[in-house]
Amino acid sequence: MEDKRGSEKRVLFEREALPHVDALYSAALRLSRNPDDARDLLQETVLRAYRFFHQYTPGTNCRAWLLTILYNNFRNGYRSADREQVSLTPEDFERAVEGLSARGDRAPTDPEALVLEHVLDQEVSAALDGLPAEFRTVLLLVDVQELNYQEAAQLLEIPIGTVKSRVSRGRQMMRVALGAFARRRGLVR
Amino acid sequence: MNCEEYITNYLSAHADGELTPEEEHAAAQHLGGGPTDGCPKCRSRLAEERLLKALIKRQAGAIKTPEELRARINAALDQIDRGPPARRIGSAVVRELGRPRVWVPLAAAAMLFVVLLAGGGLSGLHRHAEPTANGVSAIPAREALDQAVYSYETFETAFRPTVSSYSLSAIAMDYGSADMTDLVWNLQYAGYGVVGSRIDQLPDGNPVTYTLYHGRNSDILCTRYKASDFAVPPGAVGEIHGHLLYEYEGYSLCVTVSEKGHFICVLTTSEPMDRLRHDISLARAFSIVR
Repeated sequence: MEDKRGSEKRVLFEREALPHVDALYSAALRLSRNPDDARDLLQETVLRAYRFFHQYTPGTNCRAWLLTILYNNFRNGYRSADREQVSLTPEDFERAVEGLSARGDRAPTDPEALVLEHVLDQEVSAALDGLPAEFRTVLLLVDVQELNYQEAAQLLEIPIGTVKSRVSRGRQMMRVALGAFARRRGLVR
Repeated sequence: MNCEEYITNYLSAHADGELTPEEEHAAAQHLGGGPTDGCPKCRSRLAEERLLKALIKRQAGAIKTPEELRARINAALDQIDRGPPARRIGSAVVRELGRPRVWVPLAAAAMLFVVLLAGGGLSGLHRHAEPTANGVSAIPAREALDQAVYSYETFETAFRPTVSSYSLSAIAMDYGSADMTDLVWNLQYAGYGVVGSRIDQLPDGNPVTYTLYHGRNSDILCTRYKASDFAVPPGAVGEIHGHLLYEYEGYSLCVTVSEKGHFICVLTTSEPMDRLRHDISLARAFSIVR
């Protein structure tokens, strides 16, 4: 009888939670920026979710629930690294990116001149990895995991207005970075 | 609305479908539709914002989990399903006793109340302990024990201490500074050394501390939570010096609720219950302030 109860839980878990494993792995990779840490983070998250599966309410957003566990695991595991994190403003970020650019002497990016159609995937990746953690995290949740602002706010335990402003500033930083990459390749003047 | 206002306050939320109906209306008025009305510049910015979203999703979203990692996770899930290896105590197989996910049987719950009523030292602990009609305890108690058992299983293979020194006083000081109780089990006389300690946050944001002890045959993990309200789970198999003993998920557990009810402490070990009882009889409390 115990085995039966155990296997029912497993079947439900495999149906509800395991389809999100790739999404969790992507998030783990992007959060930790290190394949080894991402693997540990994913395994820890799935096992913890299984252990606490009775706390999940069927019919609610399972991916958001799993991402909450992932994010909390990440935050716990990287506590000291988080503390050292310096929050950049978009202006600081712009200066940093401009400093990296071969054409760093140019005037600040003109948004009109951006050609997003021509950016390379690895540039998107590099720009995303270069964002300060709090901006990278909201873009991962909203753009990649397709959570709405309310869900992201709950997960991160921050006000919804903060999510909104971080999304806006995060995308602004992405544009700045992608613009700098494009200029470096001579795509945009 | 001018362009700057649109781009600063509306653009991202517009692309995300997060505008209120009123904002949506105001944004539509600014953007307009044709080449001559509204703002073609902001319209292209909106298109670009959506493209950026798609680029981010494409780049970061479609990563397949390596098959070998999936296999490893499935094997770990199988391991949880099986529970820890069964051990024999006398003729009883502990795993069979410990497996139930629900705090039964009723007879055991009833026994706990006899114990609680008989043991005056425990008064105050059981004010929330009334079982429901079927003898199932309130959820938080089970979560506290689940968390303890889960952590034990995790930490047995990999424990990353957050306190660099392994001395009891360094650990107690760290707990104290994190506003957790600085009372630490000293299991030295029972033959256990401290491996290290760790302060974490539970998914609900509350702090939790872990102290891992290593003995000759087994480890003991002390998991401590802050709590203002805790239902003592029924089903205890015994009591020692005011600590309640449980067999749960195949592990031996010792649950303590602090006198003022501010902390719950759960000792978890894979040792048989009589062994844990013996260890506790030899244990001392270590504290800086007392």
